[in-house]
Parts: sequence; structure tokens; C-alpha cells
Amino acid sequence: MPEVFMPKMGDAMEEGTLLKWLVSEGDDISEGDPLAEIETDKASMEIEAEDSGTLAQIIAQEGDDIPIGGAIAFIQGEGEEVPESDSGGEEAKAEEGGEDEAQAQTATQTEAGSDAEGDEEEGEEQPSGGQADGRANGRFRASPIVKRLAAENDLDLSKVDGSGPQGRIVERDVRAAMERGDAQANGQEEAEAPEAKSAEEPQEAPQVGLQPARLPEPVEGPDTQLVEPTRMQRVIGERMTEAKQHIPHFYATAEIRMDAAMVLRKQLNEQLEEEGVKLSVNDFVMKACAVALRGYPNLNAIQTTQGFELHEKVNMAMAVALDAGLITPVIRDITSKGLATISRESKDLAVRARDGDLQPDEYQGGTITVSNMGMFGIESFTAIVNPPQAAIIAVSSIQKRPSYDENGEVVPASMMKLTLSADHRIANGRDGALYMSEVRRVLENPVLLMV
Amino acid sequence: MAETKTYREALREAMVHEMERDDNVILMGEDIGVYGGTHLITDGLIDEWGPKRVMDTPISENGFTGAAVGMAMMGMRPIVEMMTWNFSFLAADQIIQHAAKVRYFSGGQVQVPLVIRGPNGGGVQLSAQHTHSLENFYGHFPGLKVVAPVTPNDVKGMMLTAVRDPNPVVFLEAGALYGTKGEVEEGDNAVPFGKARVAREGDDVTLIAYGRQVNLCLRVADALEEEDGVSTEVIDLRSIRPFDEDAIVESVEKTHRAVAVQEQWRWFGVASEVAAIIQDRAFDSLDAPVERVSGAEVPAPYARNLELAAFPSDKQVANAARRVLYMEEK
Repeated sequence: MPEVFMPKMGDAMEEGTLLKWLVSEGDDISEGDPLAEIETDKASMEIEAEDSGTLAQIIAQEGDDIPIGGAIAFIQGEGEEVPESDSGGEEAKAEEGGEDEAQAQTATQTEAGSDAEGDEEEGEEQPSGGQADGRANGRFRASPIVKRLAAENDLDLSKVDGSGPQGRIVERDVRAAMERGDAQANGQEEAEAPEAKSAEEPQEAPQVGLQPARLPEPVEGPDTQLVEPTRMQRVIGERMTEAKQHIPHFYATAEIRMDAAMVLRKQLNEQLEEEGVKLSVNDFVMKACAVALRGYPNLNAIQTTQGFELHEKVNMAMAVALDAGLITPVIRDITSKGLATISRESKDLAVRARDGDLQPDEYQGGTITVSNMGMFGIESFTAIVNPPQAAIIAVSSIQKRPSYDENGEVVPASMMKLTLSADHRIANGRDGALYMSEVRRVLENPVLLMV
Repeated sequence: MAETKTYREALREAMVHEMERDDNVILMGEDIGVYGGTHLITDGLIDEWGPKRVMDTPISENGFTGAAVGMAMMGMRPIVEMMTWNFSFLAADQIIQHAAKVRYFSGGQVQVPLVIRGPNGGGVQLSAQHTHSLENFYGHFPGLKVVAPVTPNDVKGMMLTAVRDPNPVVFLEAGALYGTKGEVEEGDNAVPFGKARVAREGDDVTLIAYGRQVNLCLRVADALEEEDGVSTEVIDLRSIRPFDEDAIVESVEKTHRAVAVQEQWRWFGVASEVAAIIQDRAFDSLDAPVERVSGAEVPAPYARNLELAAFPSDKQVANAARRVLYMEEK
């Protein structure tokens, strides 16, 4: 396969940004050579060559957003021809059809090994370079009502997959996308959108979605800086906006006495020092949060197209802050793992997350999330549920507090606040409260973590 | 007050209602008097009203229709029976060249308050020469009003309106449905022309029909609800000219999908007009191209199995609805 395509690096991925070319046109390429760095909403990674040959043509430029399956380059093997570039020529292609298509076909046939010189009959349509469905180059089929809904609700139809004939986006597709909230256009991106809007009557008929507040024009002074959010930041923004607007959150905070856990941690770390294991407070908290889920399956749930799906295994997502956003790598089936394993995995995931080295399957499939700001000395905070999950636990710092012992004497105590945020559509306050008191029971009796 | 009556009884009741109200209302047609009418619409009326109000005519459609046009021009209100609308081809010159144009030619000085009524369409094995659906044919000519009621209540109410209209009205009855029953309002239930009827409310797809196809659409709507969970709206146009554009536009603005159903042939039919109006006025509401379901492009067959195959079936209409809903056909 001489064309290099934008790979699909996760279920949620629809397109990737070409960050940087690592090779130039004319370079000799061997299979496995890194070709380019690409960035998705979750991570950046390198694309490797799957074929050897000469890099005959670079199709995607640095900074371009390319849909999955879109061609980004062409590697010319021996005896192969470079297909004529048709980027930007979608219309011409549709009109002249025959010639271009025949040519593309010749190329694909040659590559398939069949000697098809001169065989230019029109065969089946060849989806060339991922431009199937008539939605290449930002052009796509959509029914009139879809276009109207998109205009009224400020949707970006390039983010919506069409289920109609030839990939036509039909009403059910856009309604589903609106429900999921993943079709919102970005104000900054669509420079035309506001213009087009103001060209029409300013008082549009009743709008379905919420109208954003009027925004000021940027000052653009010497002491201001206009920042374009990164792709990751945009996605985080969209997801969190969606979650905060659509998930009915409720919160439950428990204050937990951590003295026993701290003693146990100290003991374990002394014993395990030689093995290079150093358990963190967060390792204890994650394990405790997972163990306590046993009686509360609707907090370990995923919202699906057909309702909430309760999961028996706990795949613990842990929020890791990055310079340009955050990511939530997953420790799978955490209840079956010991503290040392959890500690090792979480450190490894965190390091690789910061280096941008995570594979997509390492940050997908979480069933509940823990977000820890304890290291920043935060006394308490609340987190936004991480869709499609049903719950997230915000972990704050351990603070020394005076407390009373059974004799009424004031004694120092190490206290930590955990705040659960949960989706009220699947869980109710009582579930949250009972669950949090179970987390407290486990952490205050940390031997329970060992069983 | 409403009472259950047949389509036939409701129609007769309307004509009697108008004969009682206005001495100028007379009935004319072949075998409508002594014989009681081929379809028994006027059965018994000659005994009550006599041969001056219920006139048997020779077998001469062009002649008696022309006579009726003249009577109407002079202020009478004749109701002419076409034994079936197929025979109106013989009278087409009188209907199209005269009845439809006299008011125009006379600058409005002369009106033609004429009703021509009879069974339209097929479904009762009358074969090719006796099976035509002429709503688009007559609906094409300015100067004529064309209606096609399907319920007993509407056939009565629209006949009242037709007799009172100062213009020639082509009154297309659902011939296959003369024996069907329905609630009919007592007294004067005049139904205005140009107003469609929402026969069934729904949210997902609109079926648009008139005449006996409305009943087919109602059956399909029930099946779609049961089998596919689809909420179907059925619009009964009732009036072909004047035409209630707003009703279909409003419905499609709600459902975003439409299927137009007609018994007549596809080309140049009422369903094509429906589709054109929708794309013109409700384009931005559409989620799929408007589908048309029509009769097969053949002269109507005699054999029962072939006749059934030549007219729109429940399955065809249901599948057209599924197509506009982007669902699997069954």
C-alpha cells in the first residue's frame, strides 16, 4: 500500500493533526521508518512507514487536520506511479469522474500486482485516499434539515458521521451527535460562522441550543496575548462543557482520618525499599476507591447508546496533568492488583503520559476516575464527571488537624477530604453517601486493602 | 350529534339536504331515476321528488353535461351523475371548454354553479376502460374545482359545499367505498374546500393521500407503529383544487419526511405536485427526498391479482416510509 494514511488511534478519534514531517519528499524510506508526528485529541505519536520506497509526495502539510484514512503521503515503490493529486479538486473530480478515477484505479491495480496497463475501464468506485462518502475536503452530504440544525445550533458537520446513502448525514445522526455533544463547532475555528450569522437577521427564530454570551473583540495590546487552544485543550473544553451542562452532578465529601494508612504505608515502604517500591498515598486511595465499589455498581458504570452499563471490573482512570492539558490513563482491573503493582503501573503511566508516549488503549476504557490534587496542598475540590463514566473522585491533601481522642484529649490527626462527583441519572445521593463512607471505612482500616 | 352511515347514504343525504334547501337543485344522469342509479346513490329519490328534480337522461354524456352547463348559467344548480368518471371523457369538451371557462369569458357576469359527481378510481375489477383516477386530469384546468372525499362525513359535507359553490365542481367519489361506514354529523356539516384533514397525527413521517388511499395509509401507519415504532402522520388532502399547501408544509416541518401516495399513474400525478410543493416550501425541513407511491404504469388489469399488483400496496407504502426514515425495508 503505497499511500500513507492517517491511522485510527482510538475509538473516539475522527481526525488527527499533522504536527511535523520527519522526512522530506525524495527521501528513501524503509519500512518502519518514522515519517511524521501527528497529534490527536489525546496524544501525539509518530507514524511509521508500512512500505519501503521513495517518499514521492507529501500530501498533508504541517498543521493540517486530516480525517482518519485520509492520505498524507505517497511512497513510491519500484515501477509505481504517483497518482495525480486531487486535493482541493473534489468538484472537478466529481465532474470529470472518469479520467481521474481511471487513473487512480490504474495505480491501485498496479500496486495490487496485476499488470493492468491500458485497462482503463471504469470499474467499481474506488474510494481514493479515504475520500469515500463524498465528504472529502470538508465537503459532505447532509439533508436540508441537518444543515439547518447545524446552522441553528452552531454544529460542525465534519464531526458527524452520516448513516444515509453515500454517507449522507441525516437527522438522526446529528441528533445523536447533539446528544453526545461532540458536534459543537469551535467559535475560534469557524471564522466564517459569526459573519454568516450576523449577515442574517440578528433576531433569529427560537434557537434550540443555548446562545453563548456576547464576547468582546480581543484587545490585542502589547500586554495581552491571544492564545489558540491546542487540539487537546479544545477537546477537553468541549467534553467538560458537555459534561457540566448535560450530566446532573451531585457531590458527596468525606473527611477521612489517614493516620492508620500513613503508618501502614511507612511500614510497607520500609519493607519494600529494596525492591524499589515506593507506595504513594494515591495508590492507597485508588485501591480503596475501587474496593469500595463492590456494593455500588452504579458508580462503576458507562453511559452507552442504550442506557448505563454497569461494570464488574474496575478500570481506574487516573487524571495526569500535562503541560498542555490532561489525560487519564487507565489501570485495568485494579481490584485484582496489589498495591505494589498499582504503584508501578501508575508511575509508569504517569511518566509516559507526560512524555506523550501513551498508546490509545492505555487511556481508553476507564470506568471511574480519580483526580488527585493532594500534592498541591489543596484542602478540597470537586471534579467534573468524565463522560461516559458515571463518577469521579477528587482527592485532596492530607492536613494535620487537632481532633479529640476517646478521652476528650486534643490529639493531632491526619485528615484528607475526598469528594465524589456522580451522575444523578444513574446514582442517587444515598448511593454516593454510602459509597463514600465505605471508602472511609477501608482507608481508616487499611488492612482491608490487603484482602 | 353524529350517526353511523354509509358513504352512499351520506352522499344521498347531502343532495336531499340541498334539494330541500333550494328548489334550483336538480339531479341529472343515466338511470338515476326509475332504476335508482347504477350505484344506488339516488335510490328512491324520484318517488319523492318526481322526474323534474330527478331527471333520467339519455346515454349521451356530452349532451346532458352541456345541458347542465346551460342550466347552471341560467341560475339552476344541477348535480350531474357520471355513471363512472371514465365516461366523462365524452363530456370533457363541455366540462373543460365551457363549464370551466364561461365565467372567465364573461368577465364574471355568468357563473356556472354545476356539480358533476360519480365514482372515480379503481379497485373493483372494472378493467382498463373503466378504471381511471382523474383528479390530476381535471385538477389541471383553472376554472374547475376538484374534490375527492374519503369519509362518509366528508362526502356529505363537501357535497353541501359543492352545491353552494358558484363554480363548476368535479366531485370525485371513492367508488370502491360506497358501502363503507362512518360517523356523519347531522344537519349542515359543510366542509370547506381547500382544507386538508389530518387523518392521524404523528411525528416521524407524513403520508399524504386522498380518496381511498387514505385508508391504506392509515393501515400502514398502524403497522409502522406496531412493527417499527414509527409515529406516522396521515394527511387526507380531500380537496385537490383548491389545494391545502399549508397543511402538508406544516406537517413536514414537524416530521421532516414525506411520502405521497396516489392510485393514479406516477407521471404528472398529484403526488408529484405534493413533492414539488414540499421541496419548494419545506426544503429546509426535509431529511430525505420526498417519496411517491403510485399505480403501475399499465392500463388497469381485470384479473384480481394483477389489479392488486397495479395499485399501491401496504407494503410499498410502508417501505417508502422506511426509506425516507433511512430504515431497512421489509
